[in-house]
Amino acid sequence: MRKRTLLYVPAIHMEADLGTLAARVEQGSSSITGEQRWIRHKKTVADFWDAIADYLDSVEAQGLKIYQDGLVADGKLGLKIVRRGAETGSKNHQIILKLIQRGAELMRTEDSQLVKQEYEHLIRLAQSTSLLRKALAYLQYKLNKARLTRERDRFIAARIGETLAEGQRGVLFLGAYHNVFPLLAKDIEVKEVKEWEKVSAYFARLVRGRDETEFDRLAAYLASPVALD
Amino acid sequence: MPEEGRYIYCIINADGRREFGPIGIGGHGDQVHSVCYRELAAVISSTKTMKYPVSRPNTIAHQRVMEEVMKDHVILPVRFDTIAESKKKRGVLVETHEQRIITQVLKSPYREFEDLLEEMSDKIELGVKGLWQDMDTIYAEIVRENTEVARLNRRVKKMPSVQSQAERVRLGEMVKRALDEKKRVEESRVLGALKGLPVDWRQNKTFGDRMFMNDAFLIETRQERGFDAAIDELNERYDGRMIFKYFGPVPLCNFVEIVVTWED
Repeated sequence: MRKRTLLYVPAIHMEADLGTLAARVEQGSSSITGEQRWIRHKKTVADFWDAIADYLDSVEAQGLKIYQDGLVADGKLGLKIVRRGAETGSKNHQIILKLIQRGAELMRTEDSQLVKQEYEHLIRLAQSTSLLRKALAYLQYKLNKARLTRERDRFIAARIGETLAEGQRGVLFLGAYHNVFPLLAKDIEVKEVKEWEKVSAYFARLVRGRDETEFDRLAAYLASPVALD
Repeated sequence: MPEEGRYIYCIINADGRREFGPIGIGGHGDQVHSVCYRELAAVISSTKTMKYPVSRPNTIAHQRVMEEVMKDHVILPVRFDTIAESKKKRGVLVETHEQRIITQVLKSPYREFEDLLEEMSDKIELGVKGLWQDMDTIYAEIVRENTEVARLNRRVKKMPSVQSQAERVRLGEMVKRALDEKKRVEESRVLGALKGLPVDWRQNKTFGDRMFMNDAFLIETRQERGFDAAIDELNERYDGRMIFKYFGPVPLCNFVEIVVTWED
């Protein structure tokens, strides 16, 4: 039996990935981390995607199946979504577009109802005007986030299991707050383009704002060239 | 036969089991008590895992429990008909009702619940219903203020009722529109008089022609007297025209509603 291989890229969202939410997320995030730290984070993220792009340029794209965080369509509609993202400056989408042009195949990755639920929570959060409504929207989001993420992960893992055939290779771009690895079929070999644990640790420190040395080390790791064979 | 579940009424701060009496929803005298995680608790009672219709006895039972709990606690209301079921895998119990409430409701947003309870600790919800006292005066005003209504009204009066049915329907629709607009104007006037007193407000559906407003106000407790005085003043100022029915404090259902979606 020929093994199935999945490259995992812990997707880090940039402003361009957030559409209409970008301005509010930018404002909110900057106030949590502090302005200087947020500016530095944006540079780290840009370098991170450059490193991912360089690495994936060296990967054989023909026959590669692409699974993307939040992507609820494939075919023409999926391509349209990716093109639009690429045009608005999303490096994640630009990389995917390039892979498609080189022969990779875009796959419907997520369940539209689950993604819609997540998006609606974020919209409510972003549109809440008073502190009280924002606090309530955040509580409601947090109350549902764990369940939604688990349900999305289960769907994504099942989708990969069903569509990645024996001997095939895939690449999964998925946010670091997801954890699909334990849910994937046992015969799928996962290669982490950037280590999930380090990316998660980086975000925990970005938000908490402690342990500068470790934060610097993790930021340097994110921005460094990919060390995968 | 439906299985047993736990009906959740509200979230409170409590670090140990609290009993609130045999007042659970369903009318079977189920004991209402708390299930805790650290200093947070869900107020629950046993129930069959069924869908509770939004009927008067059911909503009153839900409300009554919250009012009982409110006597000693700040509460965050949970949506009506939220029931936790135990979790089984291949017939084997893997999570009890209480464990499920802790893991899926209380644990993850613990800090956010604490923050919101703190935020609500100095706030109350009050309700104000505004009603017109004499509808003949209001309808007369509508005719006076609206030339088209007045013209059609005169015409209809001159016609035999059999022949004027269509016009009467049209007149009724015009009056209804004018009445809705009048309600909006009166409500704005009242809200203007209360400006600066509530932290937030919600507009609820009005019932019947007489009621022109049915609003909920979130008030800081230190403003309660000021709000009372403002309502008294409105009653005086509009005596003969409007009357205000003022009630509360009631559970903060118009401002907080915790919605739980269970994971399979």
